[in-house]
Amino acid sequence: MAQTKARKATVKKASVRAATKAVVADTRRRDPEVAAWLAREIAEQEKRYKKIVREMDALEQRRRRWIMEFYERIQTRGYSIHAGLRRKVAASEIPPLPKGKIRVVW
Amino acid sequence: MPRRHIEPFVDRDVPFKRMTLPGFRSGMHYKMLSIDADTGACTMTVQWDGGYSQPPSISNSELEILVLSGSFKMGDKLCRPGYYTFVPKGVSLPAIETQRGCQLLLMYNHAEPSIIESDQDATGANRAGLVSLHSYDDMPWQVPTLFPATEPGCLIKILHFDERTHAFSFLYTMNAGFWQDNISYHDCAEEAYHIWGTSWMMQFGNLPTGGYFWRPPYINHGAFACEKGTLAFGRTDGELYNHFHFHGHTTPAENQERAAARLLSRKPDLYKWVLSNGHNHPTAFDDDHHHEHDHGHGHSHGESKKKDKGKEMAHAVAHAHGLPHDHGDGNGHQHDHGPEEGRKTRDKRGRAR
Repeated sequence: MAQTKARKATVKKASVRAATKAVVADTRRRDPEVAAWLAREIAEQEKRYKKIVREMDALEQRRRRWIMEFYERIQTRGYSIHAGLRRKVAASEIPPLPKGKIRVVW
Repeated sequence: MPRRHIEPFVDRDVPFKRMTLPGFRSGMHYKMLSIDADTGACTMTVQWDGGYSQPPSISNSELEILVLSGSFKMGDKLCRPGYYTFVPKGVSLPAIETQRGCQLLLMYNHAEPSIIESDQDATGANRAGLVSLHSYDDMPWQVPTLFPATEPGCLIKILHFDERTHAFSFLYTMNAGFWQDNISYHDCAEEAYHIWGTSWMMQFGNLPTGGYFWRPPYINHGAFACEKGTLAFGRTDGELYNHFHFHGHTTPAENQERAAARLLSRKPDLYKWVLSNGHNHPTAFDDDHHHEHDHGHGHSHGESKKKDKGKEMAHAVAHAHGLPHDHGDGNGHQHDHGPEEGRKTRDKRGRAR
Protein backbone atom coordinates (compact mmCIF):
# COMPACT_ATOMS: atom_id res chain seq x y z
CA MET A 1 0.00 0.00 0.00
CA ALA A 2 2.76 2.38 1.06
CA GLN A 3 4.75 1.39 -2.03
CA THR A 4 1.77 2.13 -4.26
CA LYS A 5 1.35 5.55 -2.69
CA ALA A 6 5.03 6.29 -3.10
CA ARG A 7 4.93 5.18 -6.74
CA LYS A 8 1.89 7.38 -7.39
CA ALA A 9 3.64 10.34 -5.78
CA THR A 10 6.71 9.73 -7.95
CA VAL A 11 4.57 9.54 -11.09
CA LYS A 12 2.81 12.77 -10.09
CA LYS A 13 6.09 14.57 -9.51
CA ALA A 14 7.44 13.24 -12.81
CA SER A 15 4.41 14.46 -14.72
CA VAL A 16 4.68 17.89 -13.14
CA ARG A 17 8.40 17.94 -13.98
CA ALA A 18 7.65 16.95 -17.58
CA ALA A 19 5.01 19.63 -17.88
CA THR A 20 7.39 22.16 -16.32
CA LYS A 21 10.03 21.24 -18.86
CA ALA A 22 7.51 21.60 -21.67
CA VAL A 23 6.87 25.23 -20.84
CA VAL A 24 10.41 26.24 -19.96
CA ALA A 25 10.99 27.69 -23.40
CA ASP A 26 8.07 30.04 -22.93
CA THR A 27 8.51 30.74 -19.25
CA ARG A 28 12.09 31.94 -19.13
CA ARG A 29 10.87 35.40 -18.27
CA ARG A 30 7.99 34.20 -16.11
CA ASP A 31 8.02 34.59 -12.38
CA PRO A 32 8.93 31.15 -10.90
CA GLU A 33 5.69 31.18 -8.94
CA VAL A 34 3.72 31.72 -12.16
CA ALA A 35 5.72 29.06 -14.00
CA ALA A 36 5.03 26.55 -11.22
CA TRP A 37 1.31 27.37 -11.28
CA LEU A 38 1.25 26.91 -15.03
CA ALA A 39 3.08 23.59 -14.80
CA ARG A 40 0.57 22.30 -12.24
CA GLU A 41 -2.37 23.36 -14.38
CA ILE A 42 -0.91 21.77 -17.50
CA ALA A 43 -0.26 18.52 -15.63
CA GLU A 44 -3.83 18.53 -14.34
CA GLN A 45 -5.14 19.19 -17.84
CA GLU A 46 -3.21 16.15 -19.09
CA LYS A 47 -4.93 14.02 -16.44
CA ARG A 48 -8.29 15.55 -17.34
CA TYR A 49 -7.68 14.84 -21.03
CA LYS A 50 -6.82 11.19 -20.36
CA LYS A 51 -9.91 10.78 -18.21
CA ILE A 52 -12.06 12.22 -21.01
CA VAL A 53 -10.47 9.81 -23.51
CA ARG A 54 -11.27 6.86 -21.21
CA GLU A 55 -14.85 8.03 -20.72
CA MET A 56 -15.38 8.56 -24.43
CA ASP A 57 -13.89 5.15 -25.22
CA ALA A 58 -16.40 3.65 -22.82
CA LEU A 59 -19.21 5.15 -24.92
CA GLU A 60 -18.06 3.26 -28.03
CA GLN A 61 -20.89 0.70 -28.23
CA ARG A 62 -23.62 3.28 -27.60
CA ARG A 63 -22.00 5.63 -30.10
CA ARG A 64 -21.99 2.94 -32.80
CA ARG A 65 -25.70 2.46 -32.19
CA TRP A 66 -26.27 6.24 -32.37
CA ILE A 67 -24.42 6.40 -35.69
CA MET A 68 -26.47 3.50 -37.10
CA GLU A 69 -29.65 5.31 -36.03
CA PHE A 70 -28.33 8.51 -37.63
CA TYR A 71 -27.65 6.65 -40.89
CA GLU A 72 -31.21 5.31 -40.79
CA ARG A 73 -32.70 8.78 -40.23
CA ILE A 74 -30.77 10.48 -43.03
CA GLN A 75 -32.06 7.84 -45.46
CA THR A 76 -35.67 8.33 -44.38
CA ARG A 77 -36.09 11.83 -42.97
CA GLY A 78 -33.07 13.37 -44.67
CA TYR A 79 -29.69 14.91 -43.95
CA SER A 80 -29.63 18.60 -42.85
CA ILE A 81 -27.87 20.51 -45.64
CA HIS A 82 -28.85 24.11 -44.75
CA ALA A 83 -31.32 25.61 -42.29
CA GLY A 84 -34.52 23.57 -42.73
CA LEU A 85 -33.44 22.02 -46.05
CA ARG A 86 -32.85 18.28 -46.12
CA ARG A 87 -31.76 15.69 -48.62
CA LYS A 88 -32.49 11.99 -48.42
CA VAL A 89 -29.27 10.02 -48.65
CA ALA A 90 -29.13 6.87 -50.77
CA ALA A 91 -28.10 3.64 -49.10
CA SER A 92 -25.12 3.47 -51.46
CA GLU A 93 -23.79 6.75 -50.00
CA ILE A 94 -23.69 5.46 -46.43
CA PRO A 95 -20.14 4.61 -45.40
CA PRO A 96 -19.63 1.29 -43.60
CA LEU A 97 -18.64 1.55 -39.95
CA PRO A 98 -15.04 0.62 -39.28
CA LYS A 99 -14.26 -2.57 -37.39
CA GLY A 100 -11.94 -0.73 -35.06
CA LYS A 101 -12.65 1.98 -32.52
CA ILE A 102 -14.20 5.24 -33.69
CA ARG A 103 -11.99 7.95 -32.29
CA VAL A 104 -13.74 11.15 -31.22
CA VAL A 105 -11.22 12.89 -28.93
CA TRP A 106 -8.04 14.13 -30.68
CA MET B 1 1.35 22.72 -27.77
CA PRO B 2 -1.93 24.62 -27.91
CA ARG B 3 -4.97 23.64 -25.88
CA ARG B 4 -5.92 19.98 -25.66
CA HIS B 5 -9.19 18.75 -27.08
CA ILE B 6 -11.24 18.97 -23.88
CA GLU B 7 -14.66 17.56 -24.73
CA PRO B 8 -16.80 16.99 -22.83
CA PHE B 9 -15.94 18.33 -19.38
CA VAL B 10 -18.44 19.27 -16.67
CA ASP B 11 -17.21 21.82 -14.14
CA ARG B 12 -19.82 20.65 -11.60
CA ASP B 13 -17.70 17.51 -11.19
CA VAL B 14 -14.69 19.32 -9.69
CA PRO B 15 -14.28 21.68 -6.70
CA PHE B 16 -13.15 25.31 -6.83
CA LYS B 17 -9.46 25.96 -6.08
CA ARG B 18 -8.00 29.04 -4.44
CA MET B 19 -6.32 31.38 -6.92
CA THR B 20 -2.68 31.63 -5.88
CA LEU B 21 -1.16 33.59 -8.74
CA PRO B 22 0.65 36.77 -7.69
CA GLY B 23 -1.48 39.91 -7.65
CA PHE B 24 -4.85 38.21 -7.21
CA ARG B 25 -6.52 38.87 -3.88
CA SER B 26 -7.92 36.29 -1.49
CA GLY B 27 -11.55 35.41 -2.08
CA MET B 28 -11.02 34.34 -5.69
CA HIS B 29 -11.49 30.67 -6.57
CA TYR B 30 -11.46 28.92 -9.94
CA LYS B 31 -12.00 25.75 -11.90
CA MET B 32 -9.69 25.41 -14.88
CA LEU B 33 -11.63 24.43 -17.99
CA SER B 34 -8.79 24.49 -20.52
CA ILE B 35 -5.33 26.01 -20.78
CA ASP B 36 -2.82 26.57 -23.58
CA ALA B 37 0.41 24.87 -22.58
CA ASP B 38 2.53 27.34 -24.56
CA THR B 39 1.02 30.69 -23.73
CA GLY B 40 -0.94 30.07 -20.53
CA ALA B 41 -4.12 31.42 -22.17
CA CYS B 42 -7.02 29.77 -20.41
CA THR B 43 -10.72 29.60 -19.67
CA MET B 44 -11.91 29.27 -16.09
CA THR B 45 -15.11 29.22 -14.09
CA VAL B 46 -14.40 31.72 -11.33
CA GLN B 47 -16.03 32.41 -7.99
CA TRP B 48 -15.54 35.71 -6.19
CA ASP B 49 -16.59 35.28 -2.58
CA GLY B 50 -18.87 37.82 -0.88
CA GLY B 51 -16.75 40.83 0.09
CA TYR B 52 -14.18 40.24 -2.67
CA SER B 53 -12.73 43.39 -4.22
CA GLN B 54 -9.91 44.36 -6.52
CA PRO B 55 -8.46 47.77 -7.36
CA PRO B 56 -8.44 49.35 -10.83
CA SER B 57 -6.21 47.06 -12.88
CA ILE B 58 -4.79 46.04 -16.23
CA SER B 59 -3.75 42.62 -17.53
CA ASN B 60 -0.96 41.41 -19.77
CA SER B 61 -3.59 39.53 -21.73
CA GLU B 62 -6.80 40.36 -23.54
CA LEU B 63 -9.62 38.93 -21.44
CA GLU B 64 -13.35 38.24 -21.50
CA ILE B 65 -15.76 38.08 -18.58
CA LEU B 66 -19.32 36.69 -18.56
CA VAL B 67 -21.32 36.81 -15.33
CA LEU B 68 -23.02 33.45 -14.67
CA SER B 69 -24.67 34.12 -11.30
CA GLY B 70 -24.62 36.73 -8.53
CA SER B 71 -23.42 40.24 -9.25
CA PHE B 72 -20.53 42.65 -8.79
CA LYS B 73 -19.94 46.36 -9.20
CA MET B 74 -17.36 47.48 -11.73
CA GLY B 75 -16.89 51.19 -11.21
CA ASP B 76 -20.46 52.46 -11.16
CA LYS B 77 -21.89 49.61 -13.26
CA LEU B 78 -23.81 46.74 -11.71
CA CYS B 79 -22.83 43.55 -13.51
CA ARG B 80 -25.55 40.92 -13.20
CA PRO B 81 -25.92 37.48 -14.87
CA GLY B 82 -25.39 37.86 -18.60
CA TYR B 83 -23.13 40.91 -18.27
CA TYR B 84 -20.30 40.52 -20.78
CA THR B 85 -17.02 42.42 -20.96
CA PHE B 86 -14.24 42.17 -23.56
CA VAL B 87 -11.06 43.86 -22.35
CA PRO B 88 -8.15 44.41 -24.77
CA LYS B 89 -4.69 43.89 -23.34
CA GLY B 90 -3.53 46.79 -21.21
CA VAL B 91 -6.93 48.50 -20.92
CA SER B 92 -7.64 49.52 -17.33
CA LEU B 93 -10.74 48.13 -15.65
CA PRO B 94 -12.32 50.13 -12.81
CA ALA B 95 -12.33 48.82 -9.25
CA ILE B 96 -14.44 45.72 -8.74
CA GLU B 97 -16.32 44.62 -5.64
CA THR B 98 -19.02 42.11 -4.86
CA GLN B 99 -21.07 42.13 -1.70
CA ARG B 100 -22.68 38.71 -1.93
CA GLY B 101 -20.35 36.96 -4.33
CA CYS B 102 -20.72 35.83 -7.93
CA GLN B 103 -19.63 33.25 -10.46
CA LEU B 104 -18.14 34.09 -13.85
CA LEU B 105 -16.60 32.69 -16.95
CA LEU B 106 -13.17 34.31 -17.14
CA MET B 107 -11.06 33.92 -20.27
CA TYR B 108 -7.48 35.07 -20.75
CA ASN B 109 -6.87 34.94 -24.48
CA HIS B 110 -3.14 35.42 -24.99
CA ALA B 111 -1.31 34.68 -21.75
CA GLU B 112 -1.78 33.27 -18.25
CA PRO B 113 -4.00 35.21 -15.83
CA SER B 114 -2.38 38.40 -14.61
CA ILE B 115 -3.46 41.50 -12.78
CA ILE B 116 -1.50 44.71 -12.33
CA GLU B 117 -2.90 47.52 -10.22
CA SER B 118 -3.36 50.56 -12.46
CA ASP B 119 -6.06 53.15 -13.07
CA GLN B 120 -4.50 54.09 -16.40
CA ASP B 121 -4.25 52.20 -19.68
CA ALA B 122 -0.90 50.77 -20.71
CA THR B 123 0.84 52.54 -23.58
CA GLY B 124 -0.75 51.56 -26.89
CA ALA B 125 -3.73 49.83 -25.29
CA ASN B 126 -6.78 49.72 -27.54
CA ARG B 127 -9.49 51.31 -25.37
CA ALA B 128 -11.79 51.56 -28.40
CA GLY B 129 -11.88 47.77 -28.41
CA LEU B 130 -13.45 47.58 -24.95
CA VAL B 131 -16.90 45.94 -25.07
CA SER B 132 -19.23 46.06 -22.11
CA LEU B 133 -22.89 45.05 -22.42
CA HIS B 134 -25.73 43.20 -20.83
CA SER B 135 -26.22 40.26 -23.15
CA TYR B 136 -29.52 39.08 -21.64
CA ASP B 137 -31.31 42.45 -21.60
CA ASP B 138 -29.68 44.64 -24.25
CA MET B 139 -29.69 42.40 -27.32
CA PRO B 140 -32.30 40.47 -29.31
CA TRP B 141 -31.80 36.86 -30.38
CA GLN B 142 -30.87 36.50 -34.03
CA VAL B 143 -31.20 33.73 -36.58
CA PRO B 144 -27.62 32.72 -37.50
CA THR B 145 -26.61 34.10 -40.87
CA LEU B 146 -24.01 31.43 -41.48
CA PHE B 147 -24.21 29.49 -44.75
CA PRO B 148 -24.84 26.66 -44.60
CA ALA B 149 -26.86 27.28 -41.46
CA THR B 150 -27.94 25.23 -38.50
CA GLU B 151 -31.49 23.88 -38.35
CA PRO B 152 -34.21 26.33 -37.26
CA GLY B 153 -34.37 26.48 -33.47
CA CYS B 154 -30.81 27.60 -32.84
CA LEU B 155 -30.46 31.36 -32.17
CA ILE B 156 -27.46 33.53 -31.33
CA LYS B 157 -26.41 36.89 -29.90
CA ILE B 158 -23.01 38.06 -31.09
CA LEU B 159 -21.20 39.73 -28.20
CA HIS B 160 -17.82 40.38 -29.78
CA PHE B 161 -16.56 40.14 -33.36
CA ASP B 162 -12.96 40.47 -34.50
CA GLU B 163 -13.14 42.23 -37.85
CA ARG B 164 -9.72 40.98 -38.92
CA THR B 165 -9.95 37.27 -38.04
CA HIS B 166 -13.76 36.93 -37.82
CA ALA B 167 -13.31 35.21 -34.46
CA PHE B 168 -16.37 35.86 -32.36
CA SER B 169 -17.94 35.34 -28.95
CA PHE B 170 -21.64 34.68 -28.66
CA LEU B 171 -24.55 33.42 -26.66
CA TYR B 172 -26.55 30.67 -28.28
CA THR B 173 -29.72 28.86 -27.47
CA MET B 174 -31.21 25.65 -28.74
CA ASN B 175 -34.98 25.45 -28.43
CA ALA B 176 -36.68 22.52 -26.77
CA GLY B 177 -36.96 19.78 -29.37
CA PHE B 178 -34.05 21.05 -31.47
CA TRP B 179 -32.65 18.40 -33.80
CA GLN B 180 -30.00 18.60 -36.51
CA ASP B 181 -29.11 15.54 -38.54
CA ASN B 182 -25.66 16.18 -39.87
CA ILE B 183 -22.06 16.08 -38.73
CA SER B 184 -20.17 19.36 -38.62
CA TYR B 185 -16.59 20.57 -38.37
CA HIS B 186 -14.97 23.99 -38.67
CA ASP B 187 -11.70 25.55 -39.83
CA CYS B 188 -11.39 27.21 -36.43
CA ALA B 189 -11.24 26.11 -32.81
CA GLU B 190 -14.55 26.30 -30.99
CA GLU B 191 -15.30 26.61 -27.30
CA ALA B 192 -18.59 26.51 -25.40
CA TYR B 193 -19.98 26.47 -21.88
CA HIS B 194 -23.52 25.46 -20.97
CA ILE B 195 -25.02 28.13 -18.74
CA TRP B 196 -28.21 26.12 -18.47
CA GLY B 197 -29.63 22.99 -20.04
CA THR B 198 -28.52 19.77 -21.66
CA SER B 199 -27.79 19.08 -25.30
CA TRP B 200 -26.61 15.90 -27.01
CA MET B 201 -24.01 15.19 -29.67
CA MET B 202 -23.59 11.84 -31.37
CA GLN B 203 -19.87 11.63 -30.56
CA PHE B 204 -19.90 12.81 -26.95
CA GLY B 205 -23.35 12.12 -25.50
CA ASN B 206 -25.06 14.59 -23.18
CA LEU B 207 -23.54 17.94 -22.21
CA PRO B 208 -25.42 19.24 -19.14
CA THR B 209 -25.46 22.56 -17.25
CA GLY B 210 -21.82 23.39 -16.48
CA GLY B 211 -20.73 21.34 -19.49
CA TYR B 212 -17.77 22.67 -21.46
CA PHE B 213 -15.66 21.93 -24.49
CA TRP B 214 -12.60 23.31 -26.22
CA ARG B 215 -12.51 21.72 -29.65
CA PRO B 216 -9.58 22.23 -32.06
CA PRO B 217 -10.34 22.66 -35.79
CA TYR B 218 -11.64 19.90 -38.09
CA ILE B 219 -13.04 17.62 -35.38
CA ASN B 220 -16.41 15.99 -36.07
CA HIS B 221 -19.37 16.94 -33.89
CA GLY B 222 -23.05 16.17 -34.44
CA ALA B 223 -25.70 15.01 -35.05
CA PHE B 224 -27.24 17.32 -32.46
CA ALA B 225 -30.32 17.22 -30.25
CA CYS B 226 -31.73 19.20 -27.36
CA GLU B 227 -34.82 17.93 -25.57
CA LYS B 228 -35.62 20.73 -23.13
CA GLY B 229 -33.68 23.78 -24.34
CA THR B 230 -30.17 25.11 -23.68
CA LEU B 231 -28.54 28.49 -23.06
CA ALA B 232 -24.81 28.56 -23.70
CA PHE B 233 -21.81 30.80 -24.33
CA GLY B 234 -19.51 30.07 -27.26
CA ARG B 235 -16.36 31.39 -28.92
CA THR B 236 -14.26 30.72 -31.99
CA ASP B 237 -10.73 31.78 -32.86
CA GLY B 238 -11.55 32.39 -36.52
CA GLU B 239 -14.35 32.41 -39.07
CA LEU B 240 -16.99 29.81 -38.31
CA TYR B 241 -17.87 27.94 -41.48
CA ASN B 242 -20.13 24.92 -41.12
CA HIS B 243 -18.64 22.03 -43.06
CA PHE B 244 -21.58 19.64 -42.99
CA HIS B 245 -21.35 15.97 -43.95
CA PHE B 246 -22.69 12.61 -42.83
CA HIS B 247 -19.62 10.36 -42.64
CA GLY B 248 -19.58 9.10 -39.06
CA HIS B 249 -15.88 8.45 -38.54
CA THR B 250 -13.64 10.78 -40.54
CA THR B 251 -10.41 12.08 -38.98
CA PRO B 252 -9.39 15.74 -38.57
CA ALA B 253 -6.77 15.23 -41.32
CA GLU B 254 -9.41 13.91 -43.72
CA ASN B 255 -11.75 16.75 -42.81
CA GLN B 256 -9.01 19.30 -43.46
CA GLU B 257 -8.39 17.78 -46.90
CA ARG B 258 -12.12 17.92 -47.59
CA ALA B 259 -12.24 21.57 -46.49
CA ALA B 260 -9.45 22.39 -48.95
CA ALA B 261 -11.31 20.53 -51.70
CA ARG B 262 -14.44 22.50 -50.90
CA LEU B 263 -12.42 25.71 -51.16
CA LEU B 264 -11.49 24.64 -54.68
CA SER B 265 -15.13 24.15 -55.66
CA ARG B 266 -16.42 27.32 -53.98
CA LYS B 267 -13.56 29.83 -54.44
CA PRO B 268 -11.59 28.36 -57.32
CA ASP B 269 -9.69 31.52 -58.25
CA LEU B 270 -8.57 32.15 -54.69
CA TYR B 271 -7.62 28.50 -54.28
CA LYS B 272 -5.49 28.55 -57.41
CA TRP B 273 -3.84 31.80 -56.43
CA VAL B 274 -2.95 30.51 -52.96
CA LEU B 275 -1.66 27.29 -54.44
CA SER B 276 0.44 29.00 -57.12
CA ASN B 277 4.11 28.86 -56.16
CA GLY B 278 3.07 27.46 -52.79
CA HIS B 279 2.06 30.97 -51.91
CA ASN B 280 0.65 30.37 -48.48
CA HIS B 281 1.31 33.77 -46.93
CA PRO B 282 -0.91 36.27 -48.72
CA THR B 283 -1.04 39.89 -47.68
CA ALA B 284 -3.75 42.54 -47.84
CA PHE B 285 -4.04 46.31 -47.97
CA ASP B 286 -5.15 46.57 -44.36
CA ASP B 287 -3.05 43.82 -42.78
CA ASP B 288 0.50 43.82 -41.59
CA HIS B 289 2.66 41.98 -44.09
CA HIS B 290 4.38 39.34 -42.04
CA HIS B 291 6.53 36.57 -43.38
CA GLU B 292 7.35 33.70 -41.09
CA HIS B 293 10.12 32.39 -43.26
CA ASP B 294 13.58 33.40 -44.33
CA HIS B 295 14.53 33.91 -47.95
CA GLY B 296 18.15 33.32 -47.05
CA HIS B 297 19.32 36.80 -47.95
CA GLY B 298 19.35 38.34 -44.54
CA HIS B 299 16.23 40.44 -44.30
CA SER B 300 12.62 40.25 -43.35
CA HIS B 301 9.73 41.98 -45.03
CA GLY B 302 8.83 44.15 -42.08
CA GLU B 303 5.46 45.77 -41.63
CA SER B 304 3.36 47.16 -44.41
CA LYS B 305 1.51 50.00 -42.77
CA LYS B 306 4.36 52.39 -43.35
CA LYS B 307 4.88 51.22 -46.89
CA ASP B 308 3.44 52.50 -50.07
CA LYS B 309 0.36 50.41 -50.77
CA GLY B 310 0.88 50.38 -54.52
CA LYS B 311 4.35 49.00 -54.12
CA GLU B 312 3.01 46.45 -51.66
CA MET B 313 0.39 45.24 -54.07
CA ALA B 314 2.97 44.97 -56.81
CA HIS B 315 5.08 43.02 -54.37
CA ALA B 316 2.19 40.68 -53.57
CA VAL B 317 1.47 40.13 -57.25
CA ALA B 318 5.14 39.53 -57.96
CA HIS B 319 5.22 37.00 -55.16
CA ALA B 320 2.09 35.31 -56.43
CA HIS B 321 3.42 34.91 -59.92
CA GLY B 322 7.00 34.18 -59.01
CA LEU B 323 8.19 37.34 -60.73
CA PRO B 324 11.51 39.04 -60.00
CA HIS B 325 11.10 41.76 -57.37
CA ASP B 326 12.86 43.46 -54.51
CA HIS B 327 11.90 44.45 -50.99
CA GLY B 328 12.99 48.05 -51.17
CA ASP B 329 16.55 47.26 -50.30
CA GLY B 330 17.69 47.05 -53.90
CA ASN B 331 18.25 43.31 -53.63
CA GLY B 332 16.16 42.18 -56.55
CA HIS B 333 15.54 38.47 -56.68
CA GLN B 334 13.21 35.77 -57.80
CA HIS B 335 12.15 33.03 -55.49
CA ASP B 336 9.69 30.21 -55.56
CA HIS B 337 8.13 28.89 -52.41
CA GLY B 338 7.31 25.79 -54.40
CA PRO B 339 4.84 23.09 -53.52
CA GLU B 340 7.48 21.16 -51.57
CA GLU B 341 8.32 24.10 -49.36
CA GLY B 342 4.80 25.43 -49.09
CA ARG B 343 3.13 22.12 -48.43
CA LYS B 344 2.30 21.49 -44.81
CA THR B 345 3.55 18.36 -43.10
CA ARG B 346 1.45 16.42 -40.65
CA ASP B 347 2.14 15.33 -37.14
CA LYS B 348 1.25 11.99 -35.57
CA ARG B 349 -2.29 13.16 -34.92
CA GLY B 350 -2.69 13.96 -38.59
CA ARG B 351 -2.89 17.70 -38.07
CA ALA B 352 -1.16 20.09 -40.40
CA ARG B 353 1.84 21.95 -38.98
